[in-house]
Amino acid sequence: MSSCFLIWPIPLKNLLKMHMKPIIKINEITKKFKNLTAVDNLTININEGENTAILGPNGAGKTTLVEMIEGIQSPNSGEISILNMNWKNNEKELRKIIGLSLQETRFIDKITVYETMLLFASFYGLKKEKAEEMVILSGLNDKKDSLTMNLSGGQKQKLSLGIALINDPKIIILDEPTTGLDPHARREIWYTLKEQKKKNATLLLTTHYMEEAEFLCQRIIIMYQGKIIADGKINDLLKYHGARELIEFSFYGKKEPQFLFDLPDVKDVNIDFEESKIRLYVNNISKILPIVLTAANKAKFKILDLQCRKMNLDDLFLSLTGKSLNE
Amino acid sequence: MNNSFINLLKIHFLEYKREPAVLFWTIIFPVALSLVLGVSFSKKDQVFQRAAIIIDLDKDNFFLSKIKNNINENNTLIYQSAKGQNSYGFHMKFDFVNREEAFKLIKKGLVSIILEPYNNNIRIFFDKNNSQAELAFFQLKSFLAEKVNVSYEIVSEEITVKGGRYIDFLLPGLICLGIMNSALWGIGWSFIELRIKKLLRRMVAAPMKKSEFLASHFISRVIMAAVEMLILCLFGYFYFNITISGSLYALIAVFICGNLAFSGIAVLVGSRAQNSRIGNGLINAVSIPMLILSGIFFSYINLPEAIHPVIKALPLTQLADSLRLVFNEGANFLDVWFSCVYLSFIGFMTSYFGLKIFKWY
Repeated sequence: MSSCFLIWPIPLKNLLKMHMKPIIKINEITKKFKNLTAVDNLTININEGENTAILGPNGAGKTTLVEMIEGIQSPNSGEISILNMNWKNNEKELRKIIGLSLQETRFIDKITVYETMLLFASFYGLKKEKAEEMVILSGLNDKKDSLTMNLSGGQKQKLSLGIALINDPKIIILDEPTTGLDPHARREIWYTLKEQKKKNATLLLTTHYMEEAEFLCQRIIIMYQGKIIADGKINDLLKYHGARELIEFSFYGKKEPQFLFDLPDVKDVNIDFEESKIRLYVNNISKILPIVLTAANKAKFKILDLQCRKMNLDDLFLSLTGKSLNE
Repeated sequence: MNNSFINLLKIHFLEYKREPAVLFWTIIFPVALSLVLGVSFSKKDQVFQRAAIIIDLDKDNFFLSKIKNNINENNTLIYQSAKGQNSYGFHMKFDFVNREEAFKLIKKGLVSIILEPYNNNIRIFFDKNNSQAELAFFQLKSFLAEKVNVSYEIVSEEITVKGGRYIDFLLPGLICLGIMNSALWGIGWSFIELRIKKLLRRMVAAPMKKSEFLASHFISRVIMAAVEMLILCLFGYFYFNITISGSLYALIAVFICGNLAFSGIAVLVGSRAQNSRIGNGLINAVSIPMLILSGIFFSYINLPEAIHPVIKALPLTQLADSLRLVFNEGANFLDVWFSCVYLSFIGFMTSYFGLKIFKWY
């Protein structure tokens, strides 16, 4: 597979212009597991009221990063400060202002939805009414008396989200909240989160799904191999990359079509020999496409399944790393 | 009111209520076990018997010398009747002890019959209601008639007291087994399961108070073990006429300290395991040796004497021995205080180290 790969964080000056103050400050944190560096000397700020999505393939370090922010794991080096507090000295206070949903949580099988919500409400010193309210807000009112073992995957995620939001947190941290759910269940979770956002909480989520990031978040952080390779608003990320559109086609053979690299105005070329696919990153499809077709014809190169479309985050990630977000 | 501790406690009992199998294994099964073993060991022949012979060091007794001529170096009589249609054999091991010790042994269930030589006769003490003891008597009777030719007098009154039967030995053991299993599986395994489900880290991140979480597990298990003990005692009383001959306060103290010991061990066992295979293995590694060695079903007296100090140091042995003292030998708190301190010490030390290395996240 041929790809261009560059470590490419986008300056945060645009974000700072928005007069947001950082609520989470992450300064040069590193986390290692034996020989693997899961998070590598990473520095970012998350601003108050901002919705931020951390995207990346499996093993990028997303979960390790959010678990360090949640105080579940400790970094080997570096500092994390939340509202000028840290986990070492202010765990009790921080737990009260953070709502979180872990990547994978199962519940006590023989306990009902309402009893589970009631239990978590009591951890925050909240009344029964709050548990009832959250059962309704999570869309689980008709499953209130069902045992958690009988819930579907989507219902369990809703319960997990309801628990994350039960204390009206200032900071909501969700680790892959919709992974494995069907599109309908995923959208239900998104709308619940949109409702909650009206309370002006800060949302930080990790996801594999670019649609989820696009729907819920203004700011996108792309992680790969423990580092941030892109950070900014989605349109800015695509703009900074220098290409906005994509020409994609299949081909026969194992030989690299050299003529594609000589074409004018093609920003980047990605060749996937495993899937026999070529992607050309361009700015103006209508101008470039006839040139590509003519050059292919001249080189006696057969183009199959031609598609032209706007670039999305997955394409951006692919162009940066040579890998798909879903890998 | 929405109290987190009450909710945590309530959840344990809701789980029992909604999982009838738990109730079966924790309450009905031990009762069934005591019924089956208690009844069957009152009826079944046993090849191996144990008897105590009271010796008076000041007197040389003809009976003793005749007995000693017929036993091997292990003080065991191996008897085989004359061959014929009703031929049978048995092994009987003799303990040569003083009078006081002999009656202690029979109450502990370590021997089923006592022989006391006097003048040219012997007195035979055994419980006529105890089928095992009665069998031992008949076996001994045929041996005496054939090999010793001595007249004897049967004394049943002193022995026909509670405490000398197999069920008297078994029932306290089953209570101890319940305490151990309740703690190891109910607390240790529960921690491991919550960790596997990643629910433990979710609850701690909620923020759940760790002390309330630990206390809810301990209290729910103590309550369940108390219910189990109560049901076993009631069953024992109505079916086998078992009563607690010692102090009730001593019984409660031993029970609480036993729970403390095994709860601490459970915290240590459940402190780090992150998958079911390791968890299962750890619990079995702790419980099975004690189950075999501590004399729950059968006395450890037959095991090699060299390992007796190790066996006696096991918390299940301490618990079972002291509970049997209270049930069968009329012990009061002063008789069991050492076991209580020992069990509490084990409980505190294991929970201290368990919590030191505990993996909450």
